[in-house]
Amino acid sequence: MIMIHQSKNISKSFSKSGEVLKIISDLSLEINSGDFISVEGRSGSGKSTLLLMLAGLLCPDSGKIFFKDDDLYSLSQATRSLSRNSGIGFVFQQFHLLPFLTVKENILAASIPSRRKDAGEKASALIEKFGLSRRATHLPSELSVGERQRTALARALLNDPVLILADEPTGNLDNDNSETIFSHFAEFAGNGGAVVLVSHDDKSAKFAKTRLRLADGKLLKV
Amino acid sequence: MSLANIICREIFFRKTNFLLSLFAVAAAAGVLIFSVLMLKAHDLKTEKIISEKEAVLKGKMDELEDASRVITKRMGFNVLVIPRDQNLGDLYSDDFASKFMPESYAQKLADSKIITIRHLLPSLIQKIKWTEKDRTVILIGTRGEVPSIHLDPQKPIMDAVKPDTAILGYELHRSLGLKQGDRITLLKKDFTVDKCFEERGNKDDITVWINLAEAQELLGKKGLVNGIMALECNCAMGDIAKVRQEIAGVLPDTQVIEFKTTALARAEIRRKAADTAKASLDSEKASRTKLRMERENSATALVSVFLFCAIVMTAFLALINVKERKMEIGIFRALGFYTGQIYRIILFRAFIIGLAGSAIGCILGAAAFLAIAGKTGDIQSAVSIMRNIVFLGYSMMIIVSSTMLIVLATIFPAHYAAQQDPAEILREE
Ligand SMILES: Nc1ncnc2c1ncn2[C@@H]1O[C@H](COP(=O)(O)OP(=O)(O)OP(=O)(O)O)[C@@H](O)[C@H]1O
Ligand SMILES: [Mg+2]
Repeated sequence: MIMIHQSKNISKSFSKSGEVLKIISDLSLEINSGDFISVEGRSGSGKSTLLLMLAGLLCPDSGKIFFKDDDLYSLSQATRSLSRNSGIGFVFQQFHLLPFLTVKENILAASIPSRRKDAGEKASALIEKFGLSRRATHLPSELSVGERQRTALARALLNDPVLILADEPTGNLDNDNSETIFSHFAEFAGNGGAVVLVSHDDKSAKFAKTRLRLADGKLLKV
Repeated sequence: MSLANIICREIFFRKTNFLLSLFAVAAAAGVLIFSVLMLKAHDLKTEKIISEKEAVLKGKMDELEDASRVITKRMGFNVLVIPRDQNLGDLYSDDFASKFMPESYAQKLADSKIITIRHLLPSLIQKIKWTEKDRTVILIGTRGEVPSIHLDPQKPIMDAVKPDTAILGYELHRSLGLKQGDRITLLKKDFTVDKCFEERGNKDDITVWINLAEAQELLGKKGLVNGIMALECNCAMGDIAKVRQEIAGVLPDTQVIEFKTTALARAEIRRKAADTAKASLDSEKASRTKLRMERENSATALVSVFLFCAIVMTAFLALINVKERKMEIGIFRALGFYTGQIYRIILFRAFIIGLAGSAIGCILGAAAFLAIAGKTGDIQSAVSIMRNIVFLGYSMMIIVSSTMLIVLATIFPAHYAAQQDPAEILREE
């Protein structure tokens, strides 16, 4: 078991009209290869905030986050971006596909920062794998929601990341589509990757190996 | 897949914003090139008007000169005082006297009370071999006008030739390739060329003028002259007999012949006519320059307004575009794009707008110029202006500078985009 990602005593608060809201407080988390962690919690408990911090997109007020031996927030913005590009795949509830690019182009967009040479073949393989072959040249607006999320997942997987962060990826999907996404996550974790999944979906419990609950700024085992 | 792909796809996806920006830049560039071409056309027209006017004036000047010659002939005439024993046959065949008389005769004549005689010019004229240049020339020694005590002091009509200098007739300086300031040697003496006359079409063209004293020295005729020209005699209507009688009273051993030189009179008239012509041309030029300035000013104003609007509009449209793409920028950042790439995405789009917009503008501006030229019927010169380097050169300048301006104007929107916090954007739904 290899440790991929480590958060040490991270805290985050937001001040809203003078009042300080402590969202994450002194939280520590280790993510190892093969982990499939689901994070549950009330709305507003800070799940999305946590994922953004893990991804290197939101700097904690205190504490450190290590990814592949790098102290993420001591890296330069460009290096941190590149590290995220090559090592972390992000999947959102809203899919966040680029509306003017086709399915294949959306997947390939992830290869621009790293300029991967074999991106074309990798993208074709993922399109095949996620059953999008007949949709490769379609714009996101022409896809079903399930197809959209599979495209987003393919994009997240293009650079062979070691970690997938997913924020309610099935929030807009029906049961069948949700199961498909979860099983792909499970497969990814089974192949040595790691998944941190935020979900209200009960089905996620069936796939996740570790279930955590975020409450009062801390993670507790369920 | 590259940044360029993303930029082009986005442009096609959000056509309206792109086309509006393109239109603004094209309008400004079009107005600019149109103004440049119109001003160039104005300049060409000015050149044409001036040269036409010059031709007309030259014709008029020639006419005036002819008329003046006739009139001056009637008004006064020129006489030549020569030694009494001069054979007139020799004089007419050689054009100068072979006998000599004292130079002091000129002063005597000037001091006399003959008021009909004006402008006395004693001279020593001899046809000589210019051995240094191996040609025959007429050498005239002249001391300029002899002052007359009883006439009002007046401007001499001919100045003395300065010592050590020479004036050359047209044929001489032309064939010998001499010009003002050159050194020449004549009868073993060195001279500096002081003046080169224009063509007169008579023996003046093969004449060398030098200072009278030097001529007397060189020709071995100290104190002697062989002719005294009296120019612009005001005597009663060509009454040569009266002049002869008067002069004979003062200088008994001379004879007087009428001397038909109109060169001086002509030169004077030509100068006056030239002055008139020049004044008229100058006023034409001034009015064209004024018109040019007015047109230039209004063109500058128009172009400035268009340019300002184009820059503000493209910057504004770029800002709208960036705001609309906020989520997109968050996604790019989540995918691992760094801020430099965000800048590139926004600024390269501006670059395309600047380049394509100004190129389209230049083409449209030129088309408008040709269309207007076609209506006013001056299509030929319009086409020649276009074919001229003017169009290509100015277009290049306009395209390069507009592109730079548009990219610069988009730096703020690009900065706005790059500084967006991706976490903030991705939370918004
Ligand atoms: N940039 C911010 N400024 C102020 N408050 C913020 C900011 N980001 C998050 N918050 C607050 O932090 C809290 C946690 O937000 P977060 O989006 O992480 O919740 P969540 O657990 O993902 O909720 P949900 O399940 O509804 O998505 C919320 O109360 C939110 O208002
Ligand atoms: Mg959330």
